[in-house]
Amino acid sequence: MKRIKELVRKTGIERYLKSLQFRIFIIFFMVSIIPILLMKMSILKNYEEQSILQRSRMMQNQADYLAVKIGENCLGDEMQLAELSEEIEQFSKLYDGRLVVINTDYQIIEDSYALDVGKYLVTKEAMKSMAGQYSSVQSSAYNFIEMSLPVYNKKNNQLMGVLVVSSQTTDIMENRTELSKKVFLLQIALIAIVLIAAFYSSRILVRPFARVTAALEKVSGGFLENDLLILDYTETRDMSEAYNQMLARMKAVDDSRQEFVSNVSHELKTPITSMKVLADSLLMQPDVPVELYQEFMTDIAEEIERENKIINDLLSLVKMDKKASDVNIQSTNINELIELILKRLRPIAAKKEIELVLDSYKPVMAEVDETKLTLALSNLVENAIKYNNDGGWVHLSINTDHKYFYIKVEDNGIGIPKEDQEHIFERFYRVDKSHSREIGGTGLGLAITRQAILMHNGMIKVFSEEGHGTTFTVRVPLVYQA
Amino acid sequence: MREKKKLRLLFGIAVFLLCGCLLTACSGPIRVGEGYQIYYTDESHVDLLTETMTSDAEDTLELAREMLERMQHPAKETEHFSLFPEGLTVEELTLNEGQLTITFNDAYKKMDTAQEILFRSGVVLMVTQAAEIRTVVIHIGKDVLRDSDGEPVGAMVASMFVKNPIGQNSYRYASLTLYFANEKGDKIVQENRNIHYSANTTLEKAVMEQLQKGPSSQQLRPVLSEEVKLLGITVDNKSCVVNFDENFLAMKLDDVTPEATIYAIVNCLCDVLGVDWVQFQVDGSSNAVFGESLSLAGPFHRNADVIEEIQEEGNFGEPSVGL
Repeated sequence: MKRIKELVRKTGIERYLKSLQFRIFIIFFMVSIIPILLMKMSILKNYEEQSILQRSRMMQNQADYLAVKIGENCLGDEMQLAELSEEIEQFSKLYDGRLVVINTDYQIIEDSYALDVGKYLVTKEAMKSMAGQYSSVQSSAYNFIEMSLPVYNKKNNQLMGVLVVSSQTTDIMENRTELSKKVFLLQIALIAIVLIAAFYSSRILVRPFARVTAALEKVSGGFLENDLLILDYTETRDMSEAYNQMLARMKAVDDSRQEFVSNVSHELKTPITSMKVLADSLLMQPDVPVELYQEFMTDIAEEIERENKIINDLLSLVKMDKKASDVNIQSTNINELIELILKRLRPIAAKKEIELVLDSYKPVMAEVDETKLTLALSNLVENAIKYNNDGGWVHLSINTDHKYFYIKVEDNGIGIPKEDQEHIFERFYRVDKSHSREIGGTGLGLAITRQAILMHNGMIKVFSEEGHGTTFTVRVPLVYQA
Repeated sequence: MREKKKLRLLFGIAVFLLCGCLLTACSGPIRVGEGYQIYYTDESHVDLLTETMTSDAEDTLELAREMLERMQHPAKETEHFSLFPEGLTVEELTLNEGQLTITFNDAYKKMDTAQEILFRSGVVLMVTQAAEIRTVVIHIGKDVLRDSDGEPVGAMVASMFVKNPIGQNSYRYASLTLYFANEKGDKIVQENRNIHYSANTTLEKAVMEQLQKGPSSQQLRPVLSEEVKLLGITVDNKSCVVNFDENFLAMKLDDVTPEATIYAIVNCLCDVLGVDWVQFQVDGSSNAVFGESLSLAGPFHRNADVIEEIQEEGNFGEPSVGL
C-alpha cells in the first residue's frame, strides 16, 4: 500500500486526481455520457415500435381487404376460399406469417401453413372476434404480431367466421440487432469525442487559476510592480482584487513599521541628544560653577526619566501587540478601578485646578485585565487633564447594558482638530509637536489605550471640537471572549 | 473437527437425495409428482386459464372425476371462473382402452357456441394430461355431441385444440420435390410442394408425412398408404435409414410397381435431404422382400430412369407479386 502511495504521489497522479481540472472533466464526461447511453435505448425502442406499428397497420389494411373479399365470395352459408387461395398465399408470403380462417364453429377451414385444418381455434382473440371485435396481440417473447377480425357475408351481413393473421417480427428484431451494432459504434465514437472535448475544455477552463498561482509565485521575493489583473472569471477577478488589497495592506503595515522604527529611534534619540548637549556644554567650559552643574544634572536626570518612560511605554505597547497571550482576566469592580485611577491623578489635576468628577449609575462588574484597563483609562484621564486649560473639568461616567459597559471621559480642554482626529491613536502622533514637548508625554499613550481596549474586544471613539473639549467613549464587553 | 463437519454434510446430502428418490418412487399409477393443470376462464369468458392441482388418486377414472369436480371450484375466485355453465352436471364417466366418455346432462345444450367450444377444449386438454387417457368422447344424455351441421363430433384429442396464437409456435419453411406414381403405376412423376412444418419436428419426418399425404394432382397416385407407420428415420451425412412397420410390406397399391414405390421414396429423400443412398428397414431389419420381387437389403441410390417427365399445369405457378 505504501509503495503504491509513494508511486502515486511521485507521478503526480494524486495531484491530478484532486484537481479542479479533473473534477470538471469528470462532470463534463458524466453529463455527456448519460444522454449518449440513453440515446441507444431510445433509438432502438423507437425503431422497434415504429416498425411493428407500421407493419401492424399495413397488415390490418390487408386483412380488412381480405375479410371483405372473403365476405363477397360466400356461397350460401359457406365461405368459398378456393378462389382466394392465391391472394391468401401472397398475403402470408408478404408478411412472413400465417393466415387462418375459422368458421362459426371455431373450426379451422383454411390454414396457409396447411397444418391445422380441421382443428379448433380457441384463443382469446378468436373468441373476441367471433363476438364482433377486432383483436390484436403482440408478443416480444415469441416475436410475432397477430390480429383477428370477424368476416361477414356481404349479402346479408351475417357473421361467417373469423380471419386470423400473424406475422413474424424476427426480421424486425434482426434489423434491430444490426441497428444496435451501428448505434454502439456511434456511441463509442461519441464517447471518444466527449472524452477529448472534456479533457481539453477542463484544461482550458482552469488556466486562469494557474496564471494566478504563477503571478503569486513571482511575488514571493518582494512586491509586485503592477496590480494582479486576471479578469477571466469573476472568481479570479475577486481573487486578484483581494490579493491586491492584501498587498496594499501589507505594504501599509510595512510602511508603518518602517515609520514606527524611525519614530522610535527619533524619540529615543531626542532625550539622549539633550543629554549630550547638556553634558558637552558642561565639559566644554573650564570653570563651571557647582550651581550650573547642579542645574544641568537636574535637566539630564529629567531627560533620563523621560527616556525611561518612553522605553517603558514601548515595552507595554509591544506586550499588547501579542494577541491574548498575557491576558489576565478576572472579575473586577470597574467603579473601584476608576476610583483608584482618579485618586492617583487628583494631585496632578489639583495643580491645574481641574475638577475631577465621576458619575456612576450603578456598580459594574466585568471580566477584564485590571492592569491593562487601568493603563488605558489612566492615559485617557491624564490626557484630559494635560490637554486642558486651568480651571477646567474632567467628567467620567460609567454606564452598562446587559452586554457591555461604557466609560465616558469628557473634558473641556483644547480639543482636537478635525484633521488630526483619525490619527491620534497612531504611535508617536502629536497634534501639535511644538506644544507637546511642554505638555510632556511620549506620544504613545493613546496607542497603548487603544491596544488595551482592543485586547478586550472593546471599542473606543473620540468626539472633539477644537477649543471646546474632547469626549472619549469606551465600550467593553462584560464577559471576556478571546 | 473439520473432518467431522464435512462428513456430516455429506451424510445430510445423502439422506436428502435418498428421501427425494423415495418420494418420487412412491407415486400412483398415473404420474410423478408435478400436478395437473385444471382449466378455468376469465371474467369475460374468452380466455383459458389454469391452476395446478396435485392428486393422490390411484385410479385414472377417479382422477378424471376429481379434475372435473375441481374444474367447478377455482381457488382464485376473483380471477378464475368455472367453465361449467349453470346446472351442468356429469351424469356418467367411463374409461375404455384409453378413451374417456363423459356424459353430461341436457344443460350442455344451453351453452352458446363460444362457451361450448371453450368448455369442450378445457375439458379435453385437462383430462388428456392423465397418461391413460388418449381420447375423449362427449355424450349429452342419450345422444352424442354433434356440431352445428348435426354431425357427431367424435373422439377428440388434445392436439385438436389450438389454444395459443397461431404465430406463437415457430415453423420452418421448405420447398420439397416429391415423387408419386403416374397413372399407369410404372414410373414416378415429380411434384413440387412448399410446406411449413413445426420447428419441433425434423425435415425428414416432414417429408415422409407429405409423401404419405399423397399427391395433390388428380393424375398421380400415392406411394404410401395410410396404415403404414414410420417407426423412425435417421439421416447421416450421405445416407438415410428409413424404418417402417410391417404394414409397409402389406401395402396394397393397385398396379404400382415395387420399383416405383421404392424409388419414389428414394429419389425424394435424395433430392430433399441431399443424401446419396437410402437404406430401408422393416421393424428394424433390412432382411425383407418388398412386393414379392424387390429385396430391401441393398442401399438404394437415386434412380433417374424411373422418372417420367410430364408437363404439369397449375402446380408450378409462381404467385404474382402484389395483391
